[in-house]
This record gives sequence, C-alpha cells and structure tokens, in this order.
Amino acid sequence: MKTNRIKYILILFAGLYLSGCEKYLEQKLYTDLTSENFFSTEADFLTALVALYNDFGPDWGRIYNQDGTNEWSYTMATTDEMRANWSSDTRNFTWGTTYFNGRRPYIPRLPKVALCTDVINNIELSDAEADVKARYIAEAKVIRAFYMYWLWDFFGPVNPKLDPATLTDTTILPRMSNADYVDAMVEDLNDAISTPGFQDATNDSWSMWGRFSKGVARMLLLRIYMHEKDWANAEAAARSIIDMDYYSLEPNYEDVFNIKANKEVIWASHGNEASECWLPQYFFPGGYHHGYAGTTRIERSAGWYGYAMHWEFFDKFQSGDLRLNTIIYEYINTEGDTIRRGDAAWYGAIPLKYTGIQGVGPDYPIDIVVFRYAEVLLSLAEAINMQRGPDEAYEWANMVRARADVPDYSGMTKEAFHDEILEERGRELYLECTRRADLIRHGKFIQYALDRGVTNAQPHHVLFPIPNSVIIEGGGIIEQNPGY
Amino acid sequence: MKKLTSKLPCLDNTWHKFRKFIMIMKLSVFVIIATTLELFAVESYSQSAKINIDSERSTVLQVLNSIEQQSEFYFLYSTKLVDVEREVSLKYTDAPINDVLAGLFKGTNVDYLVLDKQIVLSKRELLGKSDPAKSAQPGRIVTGTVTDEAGNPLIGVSVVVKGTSVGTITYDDGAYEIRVPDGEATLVFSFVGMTTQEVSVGNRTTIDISLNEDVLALEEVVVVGYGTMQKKEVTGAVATIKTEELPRTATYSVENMMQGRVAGLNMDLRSAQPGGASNINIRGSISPRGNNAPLIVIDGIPITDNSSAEPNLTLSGDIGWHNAVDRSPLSMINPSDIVSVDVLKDASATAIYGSSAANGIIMITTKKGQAGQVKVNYRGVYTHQAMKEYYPLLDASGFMKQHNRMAYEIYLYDNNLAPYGTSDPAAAPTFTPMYSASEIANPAVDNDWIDLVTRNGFINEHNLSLNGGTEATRIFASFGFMDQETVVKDHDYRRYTGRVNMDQRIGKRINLSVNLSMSWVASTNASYGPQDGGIEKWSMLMSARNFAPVTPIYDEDGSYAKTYNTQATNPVAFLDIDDNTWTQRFMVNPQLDIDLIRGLKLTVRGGADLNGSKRKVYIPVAVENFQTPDGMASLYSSSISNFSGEAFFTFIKELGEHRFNVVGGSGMYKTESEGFGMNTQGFFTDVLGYNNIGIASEIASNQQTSYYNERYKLSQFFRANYTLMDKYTLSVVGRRDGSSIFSENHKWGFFPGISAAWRIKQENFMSSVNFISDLKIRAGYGTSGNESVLSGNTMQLYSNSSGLVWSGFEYLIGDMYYPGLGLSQLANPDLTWETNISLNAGLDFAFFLNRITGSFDVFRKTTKDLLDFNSLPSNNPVTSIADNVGSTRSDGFELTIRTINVQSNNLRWETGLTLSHFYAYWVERNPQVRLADWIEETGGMRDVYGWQTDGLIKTPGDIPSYMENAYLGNIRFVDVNGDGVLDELDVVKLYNSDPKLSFGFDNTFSYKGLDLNIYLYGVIGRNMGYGYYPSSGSIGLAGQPGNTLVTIEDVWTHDNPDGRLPGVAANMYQSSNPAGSHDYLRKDVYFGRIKNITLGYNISTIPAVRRIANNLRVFIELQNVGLITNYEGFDPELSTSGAAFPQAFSTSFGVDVTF
Repeated sequence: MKTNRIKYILILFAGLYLSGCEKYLEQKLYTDLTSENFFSTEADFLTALVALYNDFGPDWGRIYNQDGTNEWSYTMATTDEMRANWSSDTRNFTWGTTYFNGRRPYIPRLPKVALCTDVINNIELSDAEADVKARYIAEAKVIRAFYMYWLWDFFGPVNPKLDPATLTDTTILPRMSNADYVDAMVEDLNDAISTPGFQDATNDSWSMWGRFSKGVARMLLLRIYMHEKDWANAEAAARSIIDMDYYSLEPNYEDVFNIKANKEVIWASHGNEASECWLPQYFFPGGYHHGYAGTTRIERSAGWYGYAMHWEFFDKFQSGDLRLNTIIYEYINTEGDTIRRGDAAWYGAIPLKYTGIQGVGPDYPIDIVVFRYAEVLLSLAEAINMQRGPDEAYEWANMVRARADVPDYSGMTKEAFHDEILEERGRELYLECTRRADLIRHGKFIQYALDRGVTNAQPHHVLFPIPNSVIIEGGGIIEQNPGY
Repeated sequence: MKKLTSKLPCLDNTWHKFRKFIMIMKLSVFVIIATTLELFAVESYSQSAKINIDSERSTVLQVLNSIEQQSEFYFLYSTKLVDVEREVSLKYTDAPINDVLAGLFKGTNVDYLVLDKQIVLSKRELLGKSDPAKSAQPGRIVTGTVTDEAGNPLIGVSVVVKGTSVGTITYDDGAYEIRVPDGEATLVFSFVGMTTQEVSVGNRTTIDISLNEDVLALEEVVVVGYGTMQKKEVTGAVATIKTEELPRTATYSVENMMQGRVAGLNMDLRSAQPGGASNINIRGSISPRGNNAPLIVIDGIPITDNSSAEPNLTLSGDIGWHNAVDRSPLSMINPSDIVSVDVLKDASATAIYGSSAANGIIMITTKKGQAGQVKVNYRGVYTHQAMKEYYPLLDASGFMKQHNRMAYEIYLYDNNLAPYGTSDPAAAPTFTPMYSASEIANPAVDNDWIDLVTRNGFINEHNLSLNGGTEATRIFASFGFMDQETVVKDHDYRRYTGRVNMDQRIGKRINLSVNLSMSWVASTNASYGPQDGGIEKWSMLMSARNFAPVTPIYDEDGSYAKTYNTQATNPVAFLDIDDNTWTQRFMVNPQLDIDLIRGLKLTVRGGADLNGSKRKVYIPVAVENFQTPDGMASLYSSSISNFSGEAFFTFIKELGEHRFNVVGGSGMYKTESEGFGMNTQGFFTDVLGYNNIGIASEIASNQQTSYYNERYKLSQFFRANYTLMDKYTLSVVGRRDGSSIFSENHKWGFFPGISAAWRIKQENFMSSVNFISDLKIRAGYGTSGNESVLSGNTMQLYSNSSGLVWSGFEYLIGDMYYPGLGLSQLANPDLTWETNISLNAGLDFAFFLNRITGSFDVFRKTTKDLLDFNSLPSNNPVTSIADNVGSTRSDGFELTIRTINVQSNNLRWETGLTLSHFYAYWVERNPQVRLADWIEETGGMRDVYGWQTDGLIKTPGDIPSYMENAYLGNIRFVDVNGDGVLDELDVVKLYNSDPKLSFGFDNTFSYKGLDLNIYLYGVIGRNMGYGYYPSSGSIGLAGQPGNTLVTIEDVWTHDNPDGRLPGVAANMYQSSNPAGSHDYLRKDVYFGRIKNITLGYNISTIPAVRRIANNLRVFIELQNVGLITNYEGFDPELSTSGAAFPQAFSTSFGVDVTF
C-alpha cells in the first residue's frame, strides 16, 4: 500500500520536472519589436524613418528646440544676432573641451547617423518592392546627410558610421578627411535627388508635410557648397531649386511664418498642439503683459526671457523695413509700466517673427521655418558675386529687399556687396539658424564677438570642441579640433 | 520528537518536554486556549481525537511518541516521576485518549491530566486527584495561583520544591496546593515557554506568582524557506518579529511595524503619505543599478513582482508632479492579520530562493485559525494628526523686507558696486525698493500658503477578527477598515481589507488550507511631489513654498490669483484637481498537505496574487495651470499578477541522536504586468471631470500608452538539516532557477548555501557555567542572485523610446503625430544576474536565566558580476551595452539584545536594543569606465569627493590668493596641497553618506495591568548637507520675488556681516569644482526618533471585567513624538527633498477587546 502511494507521488513529482516546461523559458516581447519582426512593410519603413526624423521636431531636446543645449541656440546665441540671457558659456565663448561631454549637439546626434545607416541597410535587406525600398532609402539618405551636416558645421568632419558592417564594432574610427566627409554627404544627397520615386516637395501634400524631399536635398547641397565656398556648385545648387519652378517668395514677409507649408518654405520643423513649439516662450520677459509687433498687439503670459535680440543687431534694420514689424522692442508689463530700451534687465528686443501666434501661450502650434526660398536667392546672389561680381547678382538680392520695402542694391563693389549681403541675410533670415555659418563664411564670427566685448573669442572658436570623453575613448585615434 | 536535556541546569528536577514538531503554536495563543479550557473543556480536542495503538512490547516512551505522531497531543512529564522505559503491550482502535492513557498506566502510580492538547503525566498524588493536605506527611501547605503577565491563569505549571521530588502542577484557575517540608524551602515554578522562577517560601502560606514569557524561547519556531525550523536549530542569520510581542498599538503599515526592530534591516521612509513607500534594504544596498529591495514571501508564496500597481501619471509630462503617489505595495496588507515577520538576512538561509534572493527575504505569515471556542477580537483606534513643523517660510512682512534687502544686494552685485566691485554708483541705474516701509509694516495680505493647503488629520481604524473552529475545521477571518485624512488637504486614504484563512483536515492524512485575502484602497492624491521642471511644473507644496505671502487667494473676479510669476499655479487651486486612485489586491493561496508515511509529507500549493489599480485625474480649466490651461484628463489602469505553483516533500525523522529535516521540491511562477493610459486636453466645461474624455477638443494632444509583459520562472529547491545530539546542526540549501528573463546563454542558475551551528551550552563542560543559559555559534556561506537587473536588458530591441532624447521617437507629419521605432538596445546573450556571495558568523546567547538574551552577527556580503552599461564607441547607433562587470561588498555587524531589567511579581521592565553597522564599498570597478583621478579604486560606494571649505569670505582680507577673483559672501575653499591653485589636486574624500550605525531601542514597563512602551530608532554618523538653504535668487528676483525659508536672514550680505550662508555673488570657483561637491555646513548627523510612547491598561485584570471579555485593553499612544538630532534640515529621514510630504504628530486612543 505504502509503496504504491509513494510511487504515485514520485510520478506526480517527476511530472512537474519533465512536463516540457523549458518552453516557458523563452523570452517573449509584447511591447517592443526586434529586428526579426520589423522592416518588412512600407508601414514599418515609415515607422523606422519617423524615429530618424525625431530630432528634427520642435520639441524638447531636438535640433530646433530652444532650450539652450541644441543646435538652434548655438547658431545664433554665439553671434551678434542674439543674446543668451541664461547661458554665459554660449554668450562669452567659455565652452571648453569637456563642455559637450554627454551633451547635445554631439552626443547623441552622432549615433543618429549610425541609426540611419542601420535603417538604410535593413530596408535594403528587406523583401519589399524595389521602388518602395528606393524611395525610403532616398529619404533616409537625406536624413543622414542632414545629421552629418549639423555635426560637420559644428565640429568639422567627425567619424560617422556609414558602413552597416561596422555598426556594433568596438573599433575606433578616426575622423574622416573634410573632402571625404563632404563627398559622403553630397553622394547621399545626389542619390536621393536621382531617385525617381522620391518626392520633389511636400508643400502641396499636407499629409506628407514635415518629411524631406528633393527640395530639401538640394537646399542641403547649397548649404554644403556655400560652407565650402565652392561658389560654382553653390550657384548650380541654387539654380536647381529655382529651376524646379515650384518655390516662390510670399508677397508678404509675415505670411512666410504664419501660413504653414506656403510655397516659400522648403522645409520647416513642423509643430501642432501635440508637437508643441515653445519658441516664443523663450523670448518674452517675466513681467510681460502686452506689446506691439508693428501694429499687431501681442498679449500673452510671461515668458522665460532666455534670449533677446542684441540692440546693435536691431539697429541694422533701417526704419521702414517691413521686417521690423515682426520685432517687439518695447512692452507693457503686468504692473502697467512701459519697458523701453535702456531699462535695466531689458537686454534686447523680442525677435518674435511668428506674429500670428494666438492666445497667451505658453506654446503654439507653429512651424519653425528652417529652409526657404529667400535664402536660396540670397545665397545665389552671394555665389554669383564671388564668381563674377555684383552686377548679375543684384536682381536676386533685390527680390528679397523689395518685399521688405527697402531700396534696391546697385552700384556696389564686389567687396561692398559681399559685406552688405551678409547684413541682408541677417535681417532677412534672423531667427533661422543661419547667422553663425554666415559669419564664419565671411570670416567675421570672431571679429564680431570681440567687437561685442567677448574677450575670450579666439580663432579656433569657429569650431566647437569634440567632447573630451570622445577624445579619451579614442585613445589617440580621434583628433581634437585645433586650438582646444 | 524532541527530547531536551535540562535547559536550566540549576534545577535538579526538570520536566522533560515533548512536543510534536508541527504542533507549533504561539505561546500566548496556547495560554488563551488553556484559560478557556475551564469554560469550554467539554468541546476539547481530547474528545474528538481518535488514537490507534498496536504495540507489542513497546516502551511507554514509544507509545507516547506514537500518540504524538498521530495526534496533536504532547506530553509533559519528568523522567524522575514517570518510568518511560517500562514495556507494555496495547491495542486500541479509534479510541479516545483517556482510554489509551488509562490502559497505559494501569497498575502504576502514574496518572494523567489532559489539558486540551497538553497531557501532564505525574504521580497520582501530585496531580491533585488525591488531596495532599490530608495525607499524613510532615510540613505545611502552601497554596497560590500562577498567572501569566496579563493575569491569565496558567494551567499545568510545574511547582516543585527545590532539591526534592516533591511537586505538583497547577490546574483549575491556575491554582496549586503543595506540601512544603519544614525549614528553608524554595519553590520552582516552570512552564513551557515561560521563564522558570524560584521563590523562597519563608513563612508564607500563600504564594501568587506570575510567570513571564521566556524571551529566548528556543522552542519557538522561525519561518524559513519552505517550512519552519526550531530556533535552536537555525544556522543562518534570521530575525523574527512576532506581532504578539510588539506593543499592541496603532500600526498602519507593515514597514512601520518592522522599522528599527530588525538589526540590519535598513529603511528610509521615502514619503510620509499614507502607505508611503520606503527604501528597504538588508545589510546595505550594494547593487548600483539593480533593485536592492528584499524578496517578499507571503504565507510561503514568493511574490516575484512586488511593485505597487498604482500608476504614475506617465503621460502627463506637462505637469511636474507625475510621480506624486509613491505607495508601498505592502500597504495593501492589514498589519493586524500578521502573526510574524521573519527576515532572512544571509545567503546560507536565502539561497533557497535562488535568483531572487540576493537582497534577503522578508517572510510574512498571517494568522491561522485555532481550534476551540470562537474568539472574537475587536481593535479600534482613533488617531488625531497634527502637522509637525514644516519648512519655516517668511510671512508677508518678512517677505517684503527680505525681498528689498536681497534685491538690493543683487543690484549691487549686478552693477559691480561696492562691496562687489568698484563701479561708480552715480553711473549705475538707481535702485528703488519694491516695497515701501508702510507696506512692510502693514501688509494688506498675509497668506501662509502651507497653512492653506494643510490641516489637522485623523485616522480611524477598526479591525474585527474571528478565530476558532473544530479540530477538523479552523478558521481565522478578519475585516479591517482604515480611513485617513492626512495633514495635507485633499490627500485621503481609505482601506478595506478582508481575510479568511481556513484549515480543513480531510481524513487523517490530508490537510487543506486556503488563505484568501482582499484589499481595496481608495485614495485621493494631492499633487505634491518632487519638482520636475521649472516654475510652471510646480506641485502644490512646491507652489505653496514659493508663492508670495502678499498674494491673495482670489482675484476680485473670483478666479485664483496669480503671484508675481504668473506661471505658477495657485496652491489653493490645486485643491480643485481631482486625482483619485483605486487599488485592489486579491490573493488566494490554497495548500494541500498530505502525510504520506511517518515523517514524510507532501505539500502542494498554489498562489494567485492579483493587483490592479486605476487612476483618474482631472485638472479643471479653473485651476489655470500654465501647462494645461484648457483642462486635462488622464485615465490609467494597470495590473500586476503573480501566479505560482509549488510542490515539495518534507521529511522529518529522528533516529536516536540524529534528527533530519529535509525539504525538496519544485515550482513554477508566472508574472504578468500590463497597463494602459490615456491623456486628453481641451475641455469646454469642468462639469464632467474625467468621466467623459470624449469631449476633449485638442485631439492632436491626445496621448495613449499600453504595455504588457510576462515572465516565467521554473525552479527546483531543497533544504537539508541534520542535527546531532541537539548540539550540532548542519544545513545545506540550494535552488536551481530558470527564467524567461535570463539571457540565451545563462538560462539556468544554481544557488547553494551551507551553514552550521554548534550549541556550546549543550556540551558537558558548559553545564557548570551557570550564568550562561544558552550559547550557540553559527556560521554560513551561500550565494544568491539579483535577477532584477536582467528584466529587459538582455534583448535587442526596436522600441518607441530611445533613452537618448527627452521622450520617445515620435515625429509630426501633416496632422499625424507618428510614433517611431528605433534601435534602442543591443542584445548581450551572455548577460547574467548579479551574484551575491555572503558569509555570516553569529552567536546566539542567553545569560542569567534568560534575563539577557540576544544575538550577534558579523557578515560580509559580496556582489559580483555587477550589471553595468559598457560604453561602445560614441559613433555607434547604440552607445552602450549591458554587461556584467565589477564587484561590490558590504561588511558589517548586527547586535540584538533583550534584557529583563526588573522582574518582580508586579513590576517588570524589559529593554530591547538592535544595533547594526555596514560599510559598502567597491571591490572591483568596471575597467571600461574611467574613474576620476581622485576616486579611490576600492572606495566606499557612497563616498563623496570634493573641495574642503573654510567658512565664508566676509572681508577682502579673507580672500585667499588662489581665489583672487572671489566675491565677498563666497564660500572659501581650501587649497589642500598648498600649490596656490584650486584644482583637481585639491579634491579630497569628504565623507561617506551611509550611516555608521543604526539602532532601535525599545523599553517596556508593566505594572499589574498597566504597561508602558517607549520606542525609538535612529542612526548615528550619517553625513548630511545643511537642509535649510534658502533661495536668495527667488526672494531677490527683481519684480518677481518668490517666497523662501526664514533662514534667508542668515545669508551673508554687506549689511549682515555675520551671515552664515553664502551670499548672492556667484562663486566662479565652485562652477569649476571638478568633483562638484564641497563640505560647507555638512556634518555628521545623528538622530533618534521617538516613534511612539504607548500607555496601555488591561482592564480584564479586574475579575468583573473578565466575565464579559477575556481580554480588554485600552491604550493611548503618541506617535512621532520627537526627534533628538543635531541635523539642521527638515527631517533627516525623509529622502525626498523639496516638497516632501509633511510629517504628522499623532495621538491615538484605542481599545483592544477579545470575547
């Protein structure tokens, strides 16, 4: 009897061990995907691209966000255009080699290039139809070139991973040569431009607004060639945009910023109620109640006053310039007092630009304009002037000036026009992240800083330092920028 | 069966005790049963139990053993009085115990007394069945009554004249009668589980005495993994809290009950909110990235995922207080249902829980039903709560005055005027104070915002429990209700708990028990919590701290007034926010115990623990929240479910001097967690609140989330204990775990433990050392795993959050805010759990007849294979990969002592002290992570490095040469190496922030029915920063001052040269301090918190009351009475800074009655 009972029990017990339980030990994921079940459909490709696009939104931490640690602020708050009220390092050129350790815009943008490579590779390897794959690869290549452009503009040629075989390697790559780096960007952009299915522009297809296009690719080419002072190619890139016969100047300057997807805008960092834009919040002072941009009454709640337009920059506008109507230079505070230029802690004007904002804020569903046709025209004028003098260039610049209701340019020397076009770009493109590159191209970045009393400014400051942590990681293979 | 040799060698007439192993009950419960016998003996076990005996020439001892094996009876007798070696032959089938005993002792002078399950064997004349008074022996008669501490009579107490074999036992109301020889005589009173007492008779004829519980109580059992062990055989570091031994007070949470009572259990209260969570660790937290919380085992069921199910407001990044509810998952358990908490501290004991045991185990055991008349217990407590002092803030006058002062100082500094610079004052803008003298003298508005959002709170608690049943069916059932309004307005907590623990005997060999419990908590959550973001994201208490006292509550139009900075939400407006949480927890644990053959038992048990919670939040438009001005509603639901099935054999066998206790079995566990949430904005009306989010208009702002995770674990485990001659015990445990969260190449892990104990006192050479009552040494070694680090870290993932940028991977295209998926994690197929290796040595001791008892342990706990994220090149798509590197260690000791300082018939004073110390340090760092030069490779885990300081720079003469650009009011740093430069060479180790010593100190005084308990706990030598730094930037902000602490008066300014706190000028040296830290105003802090003072009176000592209730106790308790400390901060214990939940001073009135 007893033995029987024990036998049964032992069988039962053994059963617990042997009932094929091992299958439960396989890890299952329910909330995340792995490379085995991703990258098969067009919807997957789009979802993968969205993650790459993420840094181009207006929200926190992204390239065109104003929080002071992104590309947006360094392109302007290091120049005569804008004062960083919060960040004395940006204002006073006191960034050092450890300044960008763990910080944007180097970290984590550089891995984004590798992520683009990963996505391009995975799309290539997938079983989807060839033309679908080509379209998404073209778009991913523009994204990759755009990330590479920003890294290059700030840090010079770095060491992005463009070969999918190296993505999980621990080998340290040296920095690319400038020529190779430029070639890599140009190749990506030209690949995209020559892909038949890739969209020319998205202004007329609202459901695609925000995505890159051949227009964006050509604009990036223009920026790269301008940066390289490769005037012939810059001229060709600018003309290729004009030849699209798609983009045009908006008749009214303010409309460029208040009407979404208008034909002047080639690409904007697109926002709505979900993808909020906080840009105005950064400019309004604490006690702000209301003020006027031109005749538009702007009443809203207090802001953070993180930035202000230097009064000296404000003075570059001549009176009657219609573009002044987008700038608030005095305001009424909550106590009812008028705050004017010269008052304490009123460091500069409010470069509002987006005069169509509705409500007290703090955030607005606006698009931050990044690439637009007026820049193409001004760049073309500059490139022509540098090759053949100003005569042929005036018409392009004057298209922009005419809209602002300021007199046409004429009768200038090549040098004078060159200098003047820089200031015209400042007036036209203020708050559009161009000033730093423009000043550097014109060789005035350091001089202007010294002129404002930034005594720390030295020639090597035209590039930011590679984060020290990356230099250490490189063990001698990754070189620091000269001067740091 | 256990046979003890003399526990108290000074007595030459010793009762040998026999107890059946599983017949282990709480002593006091036993006492209560014994006392009820007089009333209910008719229903006793002795009549229902059926005994089978079939013995041929067996000894009496063997027959007694057999009875103990098959029933719950156990025998008390002295071998001097009863000859157990006598051989008998008996045969009984299903016979009552009385028949068997009558047959067994037929023809001898031994008689028996059946006292429920306890059977006393003695000489017939001693059992009172003959009248000793009438026998013709010399001497005199002494009578009396023996009671326990509470005055309950004790039945079956042995009363022996010392040095003779004359003795009797008490029965009927604890009364005894004994014939004492003439001359000097001493009576020895002894009883199971009670401290033996000797009383000199003198001339007395009546001696009433109360016996005290034997605090060491080596007969006690402790709950260990998969079974119980007698404390005397325990070989590892195990501490037990018996709730019966705690003062019966107002205890609202399990954590509260444990705090300071277990040496080595460290607890930091994270939040003083009801059910607030604590950081608990055992012997120091040494896993830098893993969870350091111990595994919770409830009634034998390991709770794999014991996190709270209460959702945080994860979608509402717009608001800053999204972590405001920080609730302990244990808050769902009614502390009144708990009978004991056993804490397993070292791996020789915990290894049986394998990969989840690295942080120790807390085993919670709930009450079981006891056979006998139904007993009803009611406990009701009303507690009044008053807020303890909170951050002292400026009032309106002080606010205006300090603003003017600080704004002027900032003006001087900003304009480079003296004493900060040499600019010409005439060239500077003029300074106009914001407030005039008359405004300061007569403030129009003076709001104490903290006061406006706080109140006096209360707690109402009712507990009703039933306990009883027959031998076959035993039930414990309870209902608990707790209602709390906290001192913070709009933060209420209501808990309902119900429990039924049932035991059913099926036939002779099978016992089925089912533990069923449910709890339901409804709470409203005031928006408090640490700041997360700027002024626009302030929580209620943050806002109350900063709102200007001169701001009115309402504007003239009735809307909430804004303070100077219009982004802050009005503190009172927060009270309009609805934020409600409903949480339920349902646990059912069925268990089947089957006696297979003698000594071998099979246990099969299951567990389901279903924890679900939902949360609804509505921020009305009227609140005018800067971030969500159009109203916001959030709905969340989440659940965590733990399922388990276990089967194991228990084999207990005694062969002569060898005793075996072996457990082996296997288990399977599944844990699921899931949840979803929805966040909407844009409400045209506040009327519907969160009940109809469909009307939200800002569709583009909608956010939603959901997730589901599951994991499985398969385990095999064993424990083998071998005890030789009651002196030497060897214990071997082990567990093999396989889990779905383990990586590909480490699917299974094995975790062994071994330990041994030697009861030195049992050795012959110790028998003459009378002052030592017991002495045992223990040593153990074991390994266990920390698997918490693995979940989610082993796989390559494409997920919709990257960890690299602020939020997810989403991007707006057209009107569609697309979610993106990106490569976020690389797989490491070799990743494995952190392994914890522990070494423990301990000493259990009892001196002077158990007047001093305690234990001392030293330990070394080492963790290797630490999880770390190794960096990959910064141009890789994912720049780190999880890896096992490094090793940490904690060394320390623990001391627990209980002393009976005074013990007389009426007065008793008992003291308990726990002391513990640990030091956690690095053994091996991750070689891939570069350490700053100043950091010691094997330094303490919580070492802080920085510059030393030397006061403030108050005059130009105080400026050292190496700080030539310093401003007045700056902290002066020390150029340690004297090289004239402040740099990384001046960085030194400033302190280690772990406390040096933690203690708990408990004193209980009892005098007749009165008892007084004073309990405090605390730490010594914890380095903490100054906790009252005011913000001169906030109060001094031109045009927009915010309130700050009154300590602003102590800030150095040119007109306050004695100020102790740094001035307004920026300290450019601190901003280049390579380590970031300095030691200004930091110090070693000690504190002792007087947690409670309880005064109770047991009214049932009055006979008239006893007729109505068996036990009736009333008490008054003061909780959180005070803090003895040298800390200058808010509260050294609250680890949340900023807007910590305020502490309350509580006064409770309670009644505890048993019928």
